[in-house]
Amino acid sequence: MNLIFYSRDTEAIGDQLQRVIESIETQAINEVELHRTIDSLSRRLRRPTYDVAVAVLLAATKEDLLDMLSIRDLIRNLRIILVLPDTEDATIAQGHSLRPRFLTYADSNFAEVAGVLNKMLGNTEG
Amino acid sequence: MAKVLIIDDDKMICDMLSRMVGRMGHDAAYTLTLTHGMKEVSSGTFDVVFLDVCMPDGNGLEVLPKIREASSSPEVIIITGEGDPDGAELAIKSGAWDYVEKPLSIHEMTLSLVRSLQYREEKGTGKPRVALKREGIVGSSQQMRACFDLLAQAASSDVSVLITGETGTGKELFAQAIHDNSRRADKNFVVVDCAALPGNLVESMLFGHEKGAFTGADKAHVGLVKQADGGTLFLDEVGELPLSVQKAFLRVLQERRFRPLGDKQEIESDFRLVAATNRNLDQMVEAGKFRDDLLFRLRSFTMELPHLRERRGDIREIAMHYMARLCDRHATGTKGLSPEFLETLISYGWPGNVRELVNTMEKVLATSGDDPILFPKHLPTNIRVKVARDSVSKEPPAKSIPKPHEPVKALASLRDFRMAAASEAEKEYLQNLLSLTEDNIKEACRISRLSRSRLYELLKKHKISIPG
Repeated sequence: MNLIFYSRDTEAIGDQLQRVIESIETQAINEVELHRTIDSLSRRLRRPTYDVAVAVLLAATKEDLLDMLSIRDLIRNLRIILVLPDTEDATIAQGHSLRPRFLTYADSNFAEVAGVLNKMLGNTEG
Repeated sequence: MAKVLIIDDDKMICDMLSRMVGRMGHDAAYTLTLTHGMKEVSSGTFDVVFLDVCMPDGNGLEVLPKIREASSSPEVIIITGEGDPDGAELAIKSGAWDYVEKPLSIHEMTLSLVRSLQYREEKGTGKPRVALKREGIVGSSQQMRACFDLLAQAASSDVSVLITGETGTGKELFAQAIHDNSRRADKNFVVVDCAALPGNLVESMLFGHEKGAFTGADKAHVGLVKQADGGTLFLDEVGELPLSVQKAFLRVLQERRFRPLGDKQEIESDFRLVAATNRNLDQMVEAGKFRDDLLFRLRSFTMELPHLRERRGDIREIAMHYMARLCDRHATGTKGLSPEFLETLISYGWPGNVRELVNTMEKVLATSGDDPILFPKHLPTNIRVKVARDSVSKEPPAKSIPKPHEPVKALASLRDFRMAAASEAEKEYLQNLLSLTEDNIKEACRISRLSRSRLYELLKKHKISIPG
């Protein structure tokens, strides 16, 4: 199974989250697929996704989130962990419309993402 | 005036129920066999059918779904001389209105008939049905129509809903559909994946926390229960909720108020709860792993989603729906599904239910290249092998069953051999049994220690007919 990581942000937040993902020690994941643009992610999701265990999507800005919403129909088929840019009610509402299995925020330290990923990858059958 | 049909091989019962129905001011008709009963149902416009289970020409429970599918969609009241818990469960799951054991009490039968007619009247005079939003939920079988009825009922109220069913039956899709069709549709649908949350995170994720509430809580955080205010909170895999959190959540469910970790003030959240599980929560209660008071609350309204193998009639529709959708998404040309391909899909058991079927369609699409029509050879090998093996073990050619003392050129597997031999022995036993008892079913039941329904089921399986 693969893990999809979408992060347009190449600065501190994106790097920090990527390190967290790469630190997960599991045999459930063969490969972490990194996508830096929404077009790249969109193209990937138009190919078979039965081999995708989970997708971690970082919306570091509101624009990132709007991009994700534009391909909502593709994203909603996946088990996703979603990182939102802020804690405004409108942002959270948009985030929930993607039906994430776990939702957190860009200003967190992502320790909980590691915990959730570990649990999910031990329970990939769902 | 309602029309009532009685299907029972006991004429005295038929007369008694006919008089009862007549005294209530309704029309009654009766038949003494299932065959005639089914003809009456398909040609008539009955509101209620009294149906006996053990009929000379079959088992009433087996035709119950067909009766419910009749154009008048009659309510069915099962009457049986040999009530058993499994039969009762099967009857209710198949859409029966009631399950009543003989000897029949006139009072009980009257009450059941009155209630079923009341329900029918209310159903008929209710608000006109609007099309349900049910994204991704495909099927038109009797089982799914019953689920859609429940979905509509659940969506029209704020009652807590517990959705059960095997992995892959579509519990989350139904939860989302309940939300989408409810008055809360324009608010948040908040998913809580109880199986994905580490134990130490569950409480703070659900209820939120203040800054400094615990080590690492460097910012205040609004919990998911509050985020669902005005909308729907969906607790997926609710059986995985830690016991310590179950107690706290029960209180939230009762009062819709709670205190975030580290906060002195209670806050409110007007959420509607939908929970789902593939676990047996009753067993978990018995094992002390789930609180019975929470289960009681969750069970205000329950929906049990059928396995895909229980609604094989939907497989064609699901396969075609998802193949069209996948072809569109993957921007490949439309692919046709050959009859043999569909037949193989229908024959397979789908332990992973609809999710497995959809994943299979996606795999097939990925491996079929430019082939415009899909054949069984495009399916994963494990599926084709399973279907092939099952077809052999279900219908062993009589002459190919090797007798234990006969030499064989090509041995079947031990499992197949054993099943074929057991089936042959069972058939022989039944033939001897009927011969010995001169087709007296009561006596045959006594000797074999089988219930009437089980005996009829076995006779049908082996195509053994009884004269008269």
